[in-house]
Formats: sequence, structure tokens, C-alpha cells
Amino acid sequence: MDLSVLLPPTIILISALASLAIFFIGDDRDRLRTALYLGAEVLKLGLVLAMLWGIYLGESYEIRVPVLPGIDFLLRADALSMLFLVLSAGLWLVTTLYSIGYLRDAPHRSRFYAFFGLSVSATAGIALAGNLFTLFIFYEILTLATYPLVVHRETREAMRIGRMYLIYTLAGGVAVLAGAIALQIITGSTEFVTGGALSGDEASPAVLIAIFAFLVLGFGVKNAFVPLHSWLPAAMIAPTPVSALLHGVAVVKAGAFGIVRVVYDIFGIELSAALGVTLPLALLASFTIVYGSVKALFEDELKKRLAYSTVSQVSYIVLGVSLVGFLSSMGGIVHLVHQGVMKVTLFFCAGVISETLGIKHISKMGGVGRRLPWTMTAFTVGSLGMMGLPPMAGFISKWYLGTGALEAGQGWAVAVLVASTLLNTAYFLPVIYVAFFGKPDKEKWEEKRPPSRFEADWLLLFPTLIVAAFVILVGILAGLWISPLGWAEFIAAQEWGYELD
Amino acid sequence: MSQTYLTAAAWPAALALPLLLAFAILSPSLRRASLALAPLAALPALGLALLGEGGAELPWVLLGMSLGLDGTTRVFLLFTALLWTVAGIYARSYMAGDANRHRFFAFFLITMTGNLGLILARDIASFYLFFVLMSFSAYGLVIHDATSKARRAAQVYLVMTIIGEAFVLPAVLISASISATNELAGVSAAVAGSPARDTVIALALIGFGVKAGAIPLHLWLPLAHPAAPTPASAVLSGTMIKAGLLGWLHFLPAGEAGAPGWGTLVMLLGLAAVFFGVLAGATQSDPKTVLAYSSISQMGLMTLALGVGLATPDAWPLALTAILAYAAHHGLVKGALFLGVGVAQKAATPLSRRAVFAALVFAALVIAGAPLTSGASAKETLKEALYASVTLSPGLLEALIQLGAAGTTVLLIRFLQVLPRQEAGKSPPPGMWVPWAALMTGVAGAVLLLPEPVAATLSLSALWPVALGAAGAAAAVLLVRRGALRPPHIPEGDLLIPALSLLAALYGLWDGRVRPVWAGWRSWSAGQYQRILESSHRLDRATLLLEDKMRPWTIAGTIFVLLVSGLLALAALG
Repeated sequence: MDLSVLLPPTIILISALASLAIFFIGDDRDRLRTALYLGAEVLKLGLVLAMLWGIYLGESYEIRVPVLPGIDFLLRADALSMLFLVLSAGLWLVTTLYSIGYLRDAPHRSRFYAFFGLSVSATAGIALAGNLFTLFIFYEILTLATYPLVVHRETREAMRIGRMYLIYTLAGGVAVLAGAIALQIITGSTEFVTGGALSGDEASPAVLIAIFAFLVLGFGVKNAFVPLHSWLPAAMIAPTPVSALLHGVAVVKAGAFGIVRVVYDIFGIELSAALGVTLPLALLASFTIVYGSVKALFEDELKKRLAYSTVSQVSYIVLGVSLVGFLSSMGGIVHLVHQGVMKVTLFFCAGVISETLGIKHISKMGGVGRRLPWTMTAFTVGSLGMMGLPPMAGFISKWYLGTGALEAGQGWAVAVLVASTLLNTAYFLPVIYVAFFGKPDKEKWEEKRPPSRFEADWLLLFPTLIVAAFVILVGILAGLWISPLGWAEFIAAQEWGYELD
Repeated sequence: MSQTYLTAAAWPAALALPLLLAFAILSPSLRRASLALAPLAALPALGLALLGEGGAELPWVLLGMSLGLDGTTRVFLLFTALLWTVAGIYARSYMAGDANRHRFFAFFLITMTGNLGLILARDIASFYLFFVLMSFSAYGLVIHDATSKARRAAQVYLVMTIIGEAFVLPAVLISASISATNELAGVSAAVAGSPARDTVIALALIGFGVKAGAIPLHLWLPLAHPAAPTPASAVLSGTMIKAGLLGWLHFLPAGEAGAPGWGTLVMLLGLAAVFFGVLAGATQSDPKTVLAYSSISQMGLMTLALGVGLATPDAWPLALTAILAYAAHHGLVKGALFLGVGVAQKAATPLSRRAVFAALVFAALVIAGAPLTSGASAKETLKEALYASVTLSPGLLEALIQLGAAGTTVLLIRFLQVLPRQEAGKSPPPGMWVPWAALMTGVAGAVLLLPEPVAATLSLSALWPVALGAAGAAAAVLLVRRGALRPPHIPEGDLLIPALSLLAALYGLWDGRVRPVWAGWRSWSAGQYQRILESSHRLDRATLLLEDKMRPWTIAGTIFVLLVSGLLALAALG
């Protein structure tokens, strides 16, 4: 037996096992825990990159374990899995470094890291799932593993929000399960097939549309479609690293990723378009994009503004998928990565500001740019990226979404992109303006300077600057074949059955 | 082989140099050296404009970057790089006493990168990249002085830039979509033959019109150009304003299939700018504001030529020549005039004062198009293009641009009248007057480089508008002195005031009628309500303040309306 088939389960298990071990390490044994944790992460990232290389060379990695007759536990790495996997493994590493700085001396560190690692394992499982059944299992594990992180602070408010979080996400899970069961009944399988598993003859269009609706709405909860989005801004009560990696990236992406799988690998683009479900999906995504941005305008709390921005930006992915064009597919898929990098940058900055200066509200951010110039520069980079200005990552996404919409004859989506750009500008630029040109509220900032030559704890600052650099790099170097865009083109070509030259 | 690589590397290097210097300035240890090098940052680009052959392909950058020059962009690069170099050298001395000069130079260099890059760009995405880079980093130049005036100017600048962005982005996306490749060169033709033609034309006219100061999108210009430190004003008004023009040249289907309706509209907009710039500018009392209005007016002439080309494809070669002649000539002269204001502020010995004043009078004559100047030469080229117009009568157009030249004379006399005068002190520092004098020499010599033979500029048609303008200005000054004429005061940014009051009125409507419903619906969020309430109080106060200022603008508004209706009437006749 070729050992390479063990790669996918190993990748999932590494972080899970490290997390389980950490449960049994005392809160005070930081060194041991950090070594174990970081070791697991580096190992995982190494394996992921090795597998990425293999996939690029045309290898396939698949492991299938029959569970029930006709239902397999199936892990399989394809191009789309790798995009999500590299993103989550890479960001997990920087976020962990950041968390070490963020949670210095905080209570329940071991519990935090353990569940954090489990969440990332679940994300890897979602990425590698080869059928809807496996995806569902990891989707639910993700819900359960993130719950303790939401209620980490154990306040009454946190517990209340935790309950709300569970209700929303478990209900979403039930919808996914219902869709998956229906699919199993009509086809006898829920396996993902590049280009689409269904031919359209399996059941009447009405049944297929119903299944599609169940699956998309189920995943749509985590994807934070309006009106299923309320859990996301509320979940900002969690510690910032959780907001950054899980609620900015992993959890919402799990929803978006699920929808991408449903459209591309279950229904297929042609059948989805023929069923007439893509246009409503595109409209739902567009409404979410605009609504999220409008809500962000009215939030004074920085993390909440970022949360609404996430609501808006994540729907770019679904918009790209549902516009039914090759270029818009590329735009949507690449935004999976781009939005992740940009949003992590912004959340890291919000965390640096609140940890270093104790400021959580935009109205109190006057003069922060002078005290934390590097942090605010990173924030500016992330914001300009969200606005979609070149050469940042967001521009690349927007370009392909826009030209893709026109290619698909859906010019109205360009208007949505322009509106979103204007709204993004309207809620990000004031933050930057206040930070750089506003008057400082307090004179005590100098006293709070940490005993280092950097403007903030270096474990908070460096990960922030690294991800900010990536926001620029993946944009400027989009033309390289190893860029996320190059990879997105590879994936889109597979889904569309195109030959790349 | 290595030779090819070397020449290809020169193109990105010309852009990388200013960008890297900008970042080097931010590092305290590299600051001294990079500040010293900053004025020279545009020299490689100038070298490319003179000698550059071929181009560079960087497929791994962005969506595949392509850099290079064609006949049109070479002219743009020439005057742009030249003016940035002169302004950079000048700024070293002008900013010497400024504690934040490193910040100024960082923005200056990034803006320069954008300005040079958008000229060198041969693909759509790169053009957009550098256009955005220039637009947003120029904000740092406008707000540099951080006075309340500069902040307001910068705010208006930013809002208008973003509005422009909202039109440029779809124009760029649609162009990229219909032209199938990313090459800029094919966009015009693709737009001309596309069903989306009218959409692209409308979007590009508005989007790039903001940058080009086209009426009525010019609101930010009379505020922002003067608010920036003088060397930045020079490049804002001399070269950056031309970026909007270049955007038009790239994205409008001028010279392809004719679009008489659009062409006529563009011609009328150009004529409106010519006269509105003169009328609103002549009432200003800050020399830099007068110059900014003059830029609006002069851009109108280029817009007029563009309109001719849009309406009549056969006229395009002539119209393009006229546009390039005007762009280069105006870029240099306007730069020289702005820099001259700074020199005049420092000129305090009698000799230097007279010398500076004489030089500025000469520069004013150049802009007004007096015989033997590049202004007259550019005007001759423009006239030739106008003769090819088929939609508006050429004779009428010629009369109007002669009248415009007379108006420009009046405007520049106003400029000389409000120039600052120092009574005692030193002569200006050589760091300022030497680069300025060099630029003035270039301005004087430019007539030799323009396509028109010098002899053609020695004509009565070049002379009489200047004489008429001078006589008119003299008469007006006399009447004002006698008290027979009260010059109206038009606030800087003219139509901005009514535009803001309109917004305030709409806000008031929302405040009074709509908001109570809205607020009731969301009464659960009391904190936000409070915030909106506070901001509405602020706006109420602003409205009161605005009403005070309403009286003067009615004059501006009336002039504007009269002008537009007059032009429309002329259009109907012609």
C-alpha cells in the first residue's frame, strides 16, 4: 500500500492529536505547550505543501472507509481542497504566534489552544472531505469545537451569545444533513465529482431545486447570508485570534466552501444554471454584500465593523460562483484566499490596538496612527485591499468578478461591486483618517509602551505585518503561476473542463 | 541578449526608483541620503522619454504588466518627467524648513510613481493601478499643511476622487471585457465597435473628467491645487490634471467611428470650461487659485479638441496633435507659473522682484498665446483641427477660442495683480529660482519644438485677443477703482457650495421626514440614534453657515447657467 494515501488523514490528525494532548498540559507549562503546538503546525504545513506539490504533478490522494452500505467516509485531496487547506494551515501558524502574544497570562490557555487546534483540524477535514457525508461530519465538529472559543470569557453575555451561536449553526447543520440524505436517497451517493455529480435525470427539477436550497441555506448560515448572519457580529465577543482566524476566515469559509462544492461538484455549473438556481443565489449574495457593508457603516466598535465587513466580503465568493462565468469563477475562488488574508490582517490590527492601548471603538482611535504607525499601516493595507484598490489582493478578486460578470452577460453585478467599493471606502477610510489625523484622546499612551523597541508586543506585531505583506504580495504577484490566482485558474479550468495552455 | 534584458529592465526601474526612495525616506537611517536623491527620481523616466526603445513585459506582475511608449504617451512622459524633476529640485529648497518634509517627499515620490506609471502603462490593469496610486497618494500632498483650509480641500479632493473611482472602475472593467486583451492600445477601437459604447463613453467622461477638472466635476480643483505646497501645486496642475486627459484618450473611441452626439457634448463641455474658468477665476484673490481656474479653462481647450475628434474621425490626427501641443505647452507653463508664485513670495530685493515679475508676465503671455510663444503655436494647431469640425460651425468655434484667449489674458492679469509682494528682505534662494529659471527657459523655447512653424505664430490673430484682454482688464480695473463696478466674490470651489447646500437640504428632508420613521424602527439602538442626532446638529450649523455664503454663489451659479444656455443656443445655431 502506498503510504501517500495516509497523507490526508495524517494532516487532519496532527492538529487534532496535538490539541488533545494539550488538554492535559497545565496552564502554566507554556513552553511545553508552545513547543508541541508549533511543532505540530510546522509539520502539518510541511505535509500540506508536500501534498500540494504532489497534486500539481498530478498525483492523487484518496482514502475511503465504508461506514454504512453506500456511505463512505472519504478523504480526497483535489485542487480546491488544497486552496482551502494551504490557506487554513498557513494562517493557523501566524495566528498561533499571534495568540501566544495575545493570551500571555490569560486564564484557560490550554483549553483555548486545544479547541483552537480542533477547530483547525475540522477545517482541514472540510477541505479534504470527498463527499457530502464526510463534509457534514467535519462541519458539525467545527461548530462544536468553536463553541468553547466563543464562550471563552465565560461571562453571562458570552454564554448567551454562545447559545445563539449554537442554535444558528446547528440549525444550518440540520439543513445540510437533510439535503445530504435526500441526495443519498435519489442518487445513492454524495460524492463530489469535478464538473458535477448529478446529470439532472435523477429526480424532477423541483426535487433537485429543493435539495439545492437545503444545502445552500444550510451552508449559508456559516457563510453568513443575510438574514442568517446575526451570529457573526455577535460572535465577536470571542478573543481576537478566534475572531480573526475562525470567524474571519475558517468558519465563514467553511460555509462558502460548502456552497462552492455543492454548485461545482454536486450539481455542476451547467445543471445549476439549467435549474435556474444560480440567479437567485447571485441576488442573495449581492444583497448580502450591500447589506453587510451598510450595517458596517453604523458600527462604532472596530471588531463589529470588521464582522459586518466579513458578512459582506464572504459573499463575493458565492457571487463569483453563481454568476456562471469562467472568469467570475476564478474571482470567487481566489477571493476565498484573498478575503482570508485581508481579514486576518484587519483583525490582527484591531487586536493590537485593543491589547496595546485598550481601544475598541473607532471614535476613540484618534491619533492611534502616531502611536502605532506600523499597525495602522498594516490596517491601511488591509482596508485598501478590501476596497479593491490595486495592487492589493482584493483588486484581483474584484477584477475577475467584474470582467466575469460582464463575460457572463450579467453586467448588473458590476454595479454591486461598485456599490460595495464605495461602501467599503465609506467605512474604512474614516477609521484610517481618525487614526492618522485625529487628535489623541489620552496622553497616557507612552506609559503603556511595552518594554521593547517595537510599538507593540512583537508576537502581536510581526504576524500582523507578515499577513499585511501577503495582502500586497498576492496582489502584485498575481501573474505568477504559484499565486492564489494561478491556482484559482487551475481549479476553475478543471470545473469548467477547459484546457489551460 | 544581455543588452535586451538591460534595456527592458530600464522600464520597471524608472518606476521602482521613486517608489523605493519613498520607502527609504520612511526609514530614519536612510532618510538623509534618500531625501538628497528624491529630486532626481524622475530622471530615468525622462531618459526613457528621450531615448527609450521597445518596452518591457512583466507577465508575473498583477494581471501581466506591460510598459512602454507610443507617440502620444512619449509626449506626455516628456513634459511630465521634466516638470516632476524641476518641482522635485525646487521642493528640496521650498520644503527645507518644514519639519514634516520627509512625509511630503514620501507622498511626492509615490504620487510621481503613479503619474509616470500611468503614462508608461500599456495594459489596462496597470494603467488603473497607477491612476489609483497617483489619485490616492496625492491626498497626502493636498493635506500636507494640515491647516483647516488644507483639510477641507483634501476632504473634497478625496470625496471627488472616490466618486471618480466609482465611474472609472466600471469603465475599465467593461473596456477590459469587450477588448478581450489587456492591451490599452486596442481599447478605443473595441469601444467604438461595441454595443456598450455609450456606457463606456459616459463612464469614462465622468470618471476621468473628475481628474481633468471637467465642468461640473471641477469642484475640488480650485481648492486642492492651491492648498498643496507650491511644488505639489505645480505638478497637480501641470501634469496630474493631464492624467484625466490621457484616460480619455485611452478609453474614448476618438478617431474611430464617429459619435457626433457625444462629440458635440464634449465640445460644449470644453467651451463651458474655457469660459467658466475665466469668469470664476477672475474674481479670486489668491494667485494660486486664479491659476487653478486658469487650468480648468485651458483643459477646456483640450476637451474641445477631443470633442472634435470624437465627432469627426477624419479630424482626429489634427485634433490629437492639438491636444498634445496644448498638454505639453500648458504642463510646462502652468508648472512655471505655480513655481513662480513661490519665488515671488521670497523675492524681496528690488532687482529680484522686478526680474521675477517680468518673467511671470512673460509666462502669462505664453499662456494667453501672444505671438512667438508656444501658446500661439498650440492655438494655431487647435484652429486647424477646428476647421475639420462638422457638427459645430468652425468659424464660430474659432471666434470663441479667440474670445477665450482674451479671457485668459484677463485672468492672467488678475493673477499678476494679486501676486504677493515683499517689501524688504533677501532675494529668493538659488535652490528655488535656479530650477524655476531653467523651466522658464524651457517655456520660452517650447515654441520651437511644437509642430507649427514659429513664423505662423507671428500673426494678428495671436495678437488681438491679448490686446483685447489687456484693454478689457485695464478698463475693469479702472471701473473698480472708480467704484463704478463691484466685482462679485465667488468662493473657491464655486459650485461646491450649492452642491453642498443641496446635500444639506436633502439631509434636512431625511432628518425631518424620513428619519423619525427610521429611528422608531430601530429605537433599540439608542446610541446610534444619539450619534446621528449629534451629526445632524453639526449639519444644521453647517447649513446656517452655508446660507451666509449663498449670496455670492448665486452669481457663480447664474454665470454658469447663462454660459451653458448660451453655448447650447450656439450649438443649435452652429
